[in-house]
Amino acid sequence: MSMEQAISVTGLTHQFKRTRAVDGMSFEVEEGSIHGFVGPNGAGKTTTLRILATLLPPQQGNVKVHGSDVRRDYKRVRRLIGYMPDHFSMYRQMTVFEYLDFFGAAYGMVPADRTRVIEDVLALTDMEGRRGDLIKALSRGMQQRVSLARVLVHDPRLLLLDEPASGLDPRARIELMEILRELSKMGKTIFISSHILSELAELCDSVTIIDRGHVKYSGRMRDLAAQDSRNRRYVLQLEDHAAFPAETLLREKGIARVEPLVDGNGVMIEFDGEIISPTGVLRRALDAGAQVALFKPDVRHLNQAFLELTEAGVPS
Amino acid sequence: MTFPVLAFFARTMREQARSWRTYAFRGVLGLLLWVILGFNHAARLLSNAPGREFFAALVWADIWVLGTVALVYFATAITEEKEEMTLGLLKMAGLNPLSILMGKSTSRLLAMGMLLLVQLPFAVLAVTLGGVSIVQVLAAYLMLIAFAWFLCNLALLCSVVAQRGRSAAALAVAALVAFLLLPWAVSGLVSEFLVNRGGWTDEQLLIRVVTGACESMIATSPFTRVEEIMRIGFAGPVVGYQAVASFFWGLAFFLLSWVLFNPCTRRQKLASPARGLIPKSGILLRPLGVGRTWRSALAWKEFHFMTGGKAQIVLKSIVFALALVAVGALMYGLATDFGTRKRPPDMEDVRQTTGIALVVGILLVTVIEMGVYASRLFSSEVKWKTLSGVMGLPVSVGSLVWDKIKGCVPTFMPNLVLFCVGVFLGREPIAEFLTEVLGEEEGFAAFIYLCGQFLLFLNLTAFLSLYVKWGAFALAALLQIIGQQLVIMFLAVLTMGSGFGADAFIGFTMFMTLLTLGLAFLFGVLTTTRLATLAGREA
Repeated sequence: MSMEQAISVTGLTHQFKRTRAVDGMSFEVEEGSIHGFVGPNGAGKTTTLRILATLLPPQQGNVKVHGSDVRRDYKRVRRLIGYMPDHFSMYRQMTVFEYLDFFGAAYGMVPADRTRVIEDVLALTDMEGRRGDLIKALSRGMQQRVSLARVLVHDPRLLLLDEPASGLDPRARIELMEILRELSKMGKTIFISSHILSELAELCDSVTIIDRGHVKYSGRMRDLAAQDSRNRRYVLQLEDHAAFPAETLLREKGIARVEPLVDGNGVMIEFDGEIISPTGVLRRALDAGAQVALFKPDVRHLNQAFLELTEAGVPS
Repeated sequence: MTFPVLAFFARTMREQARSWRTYAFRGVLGLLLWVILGFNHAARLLSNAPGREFFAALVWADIWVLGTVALVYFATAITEEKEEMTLGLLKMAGLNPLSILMGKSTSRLLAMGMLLLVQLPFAVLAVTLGGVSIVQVLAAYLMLIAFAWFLCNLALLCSVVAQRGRSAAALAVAALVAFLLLPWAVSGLVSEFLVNRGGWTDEQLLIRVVTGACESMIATSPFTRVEEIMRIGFAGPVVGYQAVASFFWGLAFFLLSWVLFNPCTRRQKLASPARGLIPKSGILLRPLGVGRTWRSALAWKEFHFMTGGKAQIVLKSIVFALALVAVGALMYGLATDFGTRKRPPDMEDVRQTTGIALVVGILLVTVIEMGVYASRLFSSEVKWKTLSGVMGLPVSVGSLVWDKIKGCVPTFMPNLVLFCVGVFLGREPIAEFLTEVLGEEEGFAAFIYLCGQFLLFLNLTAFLSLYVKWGAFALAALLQIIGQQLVIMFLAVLTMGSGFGADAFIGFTMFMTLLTLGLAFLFGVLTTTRLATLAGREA
């Protein structure tokens, strides 16, 4: 049975004066997935997100959210989505509770429901203790949490998040990603944009990579690695690097190269293109006496894939 | 090579010279002058001195523009850098206070000066039309340039002192009003209470100093100078006292701005909307708090966070109650010549004049208040980048606009109460006036037209506020005044030589009312379209 598409974009084009921000873009997002929307600056991410959020009308093509056209059924689409823009769009003179209560009421919720939902979203975003604080008195990370709480108030099925981690410190980023995972478990579809692919690598099920208004890749995150022109790479981190004779791995069929990691606590293993099992490689390393701390695909290849798919330079 | 102190100024001037808006604005102004001139020329048979009338209208329009739109424009010179948090960057780039002040303010002054100079060829045509001499034209333009210099530096000082553009503009307007009115009030009070009743003489030092200062300030006023220039037979001098005094006042303001620049800009605060008088917590103040959001959420937001909510209503009620007492006391004082008249005053008369003063005053306050709200209703969403959040709500733009308007209504309750009190007190003359004016068909038609004009004013203000950062209110008022002038001139041309019957007047007024309502509707539609465009562009 095929899943319903949360987002369906076909032949989308949008132009600002002489600049074509989005040019014949097509992609789909499955319901319940976390979908990354990645591209360099000026690739057309924000324009696409604003069209999905019904703030910009599509000039050409079809854009549907849960089967509803963003132009014709914009009121229904707005109920289905929660859009968080890439800038702080908040009434900073309100308290956290007033702000969430305002949006709850704007979506037609009665006071009793609003109280319950606000408590829930504040708990989810770990902001219960700050409900009476003025928004302008909160840190950037906390304001981002309030912003996220705001888009959740009316219980949308699809979250459109435009670079939500931008400007946050590492701790706030990790916490934000945790919240997004929680939301995904709750059945929400999350469409999240970023210009850093590796940032989304561990979070997203699928990804669309765009450049200069064109889709360069759209599909499962794990399939993106298969599109990599280079050989597959794995990172083997060791408890005691000195005690492990890494060259023994080179005898294994299908391994092309073994190189020490830059930080000196393991090796990078590059396969030679033959289909071999990484499990076999790991077993071989264990047999050779390696004390393995971590064995995982090299995430750097995603960045490499991103660089290969997108062009250098600033879009004109 | 440019001097370092002029680097920023030169860059700003280059930017202005490259911007198409600069030329478009001057072009529109020139075109408008041409239209006014054309009408005036057509109506020359109605007047003995059409050139003088045209010129006087032009000069008064310039004074109005300088005192409102330009003043606000000047007042945001430094505050816009404060709000954008870029003042620190300018300082880090090695720009000293003098170069920042010159770059930000003198360039604006020159832009305004160019707008005045572009009129000069048209103004000289007034000489040809008759009733005004070239000396008068030159003296008037010198007066305007001196006034612009004075205002620019006064506003610059306010811009340095204030943290936000809105407070700088308010401060500048208040300072200008005080400068223009205070000398009259002070000299009047001194003469009435100290000299006439207090036993002081004109020769005493304090009286001489105070009256001398007041007279000097009155002579610095552009109104005084315009009166002089417009006198028949004016023969100079071209450079009057007003120009010289304005130059020195402006220089003093500039130097003060320079001195205060560093102390006033040392700390930068991220701009954020003010909560005003609304309490955040506290049991005693809870009744004045925002409570839970109403079903009409946007109305709730506008009522509390734009108009000031219940606290603002309470404050207004107190101020209006004091105004009621003050007006009553003033009318009683006038009726008794402030206690000098022996026979008792006519209390009926005091009651009625108090009522009329209250009605006129509160109508004026309400019109200004409504204009201010119209200019802030949508522009505040743009300014604080919250428009996309509002426009993303599952409602049409029309109902969104309507909800916002509804939120502003409760704040006018004190106005309504004071209006009713005024009507009650002055019931007889007001009823007489209304019967006289509205009883006649012409009067009724004119009243409807006036209401239409007010609606147009509100729509125009809201529309302009989405294009200009500051001064939408003053700009809308200016455009409407010019529009009214054109209508009056058109009417004069139309009726020239043939007279204008009552039926024709009513027909014309009804036509103009329909046109006004059509324009109001058009600006309403354009405002919603603009809102949708801005929401899509918000970044």
